[in-house]
Amino acid sequence: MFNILLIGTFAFLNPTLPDNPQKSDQRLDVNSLFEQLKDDNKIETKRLNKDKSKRIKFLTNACNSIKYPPLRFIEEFSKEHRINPNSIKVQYSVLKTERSTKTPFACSVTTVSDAGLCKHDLQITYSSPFKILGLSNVQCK
Amino acid sequence: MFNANKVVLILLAFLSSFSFAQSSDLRTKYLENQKIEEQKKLSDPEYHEINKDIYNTWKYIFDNAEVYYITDEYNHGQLKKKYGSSTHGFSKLLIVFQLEGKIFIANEKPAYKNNPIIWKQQEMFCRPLDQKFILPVPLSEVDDSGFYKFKTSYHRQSEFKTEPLIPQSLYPFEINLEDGQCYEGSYGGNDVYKCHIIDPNITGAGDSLKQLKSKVSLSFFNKYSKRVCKIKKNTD
Repeated sequence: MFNILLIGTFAFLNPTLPDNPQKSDQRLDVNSLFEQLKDDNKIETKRLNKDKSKRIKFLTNACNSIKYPPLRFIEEFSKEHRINPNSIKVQYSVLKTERSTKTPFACSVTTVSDAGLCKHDLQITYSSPFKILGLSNVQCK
Repeated sequence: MFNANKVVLILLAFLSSFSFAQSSDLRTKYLENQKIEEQKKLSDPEYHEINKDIYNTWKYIFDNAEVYYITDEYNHGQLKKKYGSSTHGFSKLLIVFQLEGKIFIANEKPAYKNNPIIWKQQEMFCRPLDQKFILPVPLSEVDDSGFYKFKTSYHRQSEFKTEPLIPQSLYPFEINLEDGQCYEGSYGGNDVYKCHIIDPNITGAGDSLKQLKSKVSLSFFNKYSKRVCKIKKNTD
């Protein structure tokens, strides 16, 4: 409602709104515009790629640095599997590369314990220092 | 006598409140204008130029480009069912502007400091954080066979976030605006579907263009609001 009022007010104040039937008198060099905006896209793509590689580097390091599972997980996991919590060790942890854009970043963590070899997704934040959000998808062999 | 006095008093009270309200309104408006002027100074001067240039570019496109509306097989099927309805809400729509053998689309994006918008090689970011700009994005030039080939994604009826630079959301399109042929591929390009160029006069697609025009106008006139924008000086 507010937007409609605002548009109405501006339409009244400014006679050169796009809906005005009067066409632009100034000629625009479409070729030049097209090329300039294509260059903008190239800059943006370059920036996105740079950001992506920076992000991947950070997350890879974060995943590699995980030597112990989160304490809360150790408690829950040992209770569920009725195992000694001290037996749970991280065997290796790597960045999970396959993810949907809507899910958090995650490390694929393999643990070895009295429950056997288990794989988990450990969700982490892309912030410094990174935070562990939680573990999910536990699969044990 | 008493009644006449009462009436006069009420009348005077009414008139004085009216004139007070008027002067108060003017004072408020004056102070607001002062604030706006101060606010405008907080932005880099280039921002006002860029903002004006974006608006003028859109105005030129709106005034001079041929507009085409593209939708997918599902939405086209829904349209057929509701033939004649002008209120069809598109879950997938692409408004394409054709100018001198080139096509453009609209893309709405925020201007964050770590992810600024780029306009003619100038990078710009704004505060408050939710400040968005709608920019024309070049898609493709017509080839010898009359086709425009490009990758993009649909937008919803009133949202123009086509995000042409995020690879996961890009789909290949091949369209011929002369004879109406339209094909879209899946991500990865293994499957091909027909898309449809639709007539806005018998659908609600034209409403989406009106919304785009309103958003562009609002975006431009927001320079008078609390938007403060800076130009990123060091680009690499």
